[in-house]
Amino acid sequence: MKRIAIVLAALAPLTALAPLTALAHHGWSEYDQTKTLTLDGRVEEAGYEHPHGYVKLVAADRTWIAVLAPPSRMDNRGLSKEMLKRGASVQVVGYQNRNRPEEMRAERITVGGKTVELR
Amino acid sequence: MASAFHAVEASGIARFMREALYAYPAVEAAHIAGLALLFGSIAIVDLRLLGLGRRVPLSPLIEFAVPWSIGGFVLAALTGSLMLTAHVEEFFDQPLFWLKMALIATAGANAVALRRGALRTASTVLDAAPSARVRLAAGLSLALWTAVIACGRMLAYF
Repeated sequence: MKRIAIVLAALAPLTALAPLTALAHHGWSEYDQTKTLTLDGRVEEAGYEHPHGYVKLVAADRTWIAVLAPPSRMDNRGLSKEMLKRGASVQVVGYQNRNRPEEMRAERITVGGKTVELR
Repeated sequence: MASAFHAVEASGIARFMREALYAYPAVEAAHIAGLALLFGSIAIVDLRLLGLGRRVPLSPLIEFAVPWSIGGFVLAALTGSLMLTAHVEEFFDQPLFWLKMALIATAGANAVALRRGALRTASTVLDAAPSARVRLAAGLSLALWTAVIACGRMLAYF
């Protein structure tokens, strides 16, 4: 029993990391889920890349960075690299980043009449 | 400095890591295999040093397990470097990344100190009862490597 207590004590510092999980990036809380954003715009730049893709989107109010999904998932769901080319008209629905107001995390994207779920 | 990062990020290997559909997840999987080998093998040694499983003789266990720990570390370091090239600047901007590197350096120094120091005691003595210093180093090793894994995982969430 004593030795098990020693092992547990050795692993105890882990609990110090627990509060960090509350700030998780992919883990939602950094993005304001109380308000759903729908943005229409034109693709200025697109990254079909790991660990997750993005589009720089020129919308009416400003230029947004919309964080998408890993390219393997997008490809799997029929959103090809060619569909995200510069100049394409797209609509993204998602949540704004609380700390970086120009960034949003897209839940789905509509391009060329096709809607793809990203989560 | 920033231009050096850009040079790395613009390199063929970095582009491959970002743009190839399955390179990044495959390298990630190999990274996990590397750290599983490292942590799994070193944890067994650490637990033995803490005094668990005393029926297992220590010297042959260390001789067998530690080279696998080192091999796991090398695999994790190589695959980690590959993932790093894809977004050097983003990683370097993350305090968590530097915390992880510092923890790895500390865990490495702890292992070297243990090997050069307390573990050189005659194996018969070690087998009977590892000293408090040995047990402290073993506990530290478990704690440090666990924290390294936690940092690595958390990096994906910031």
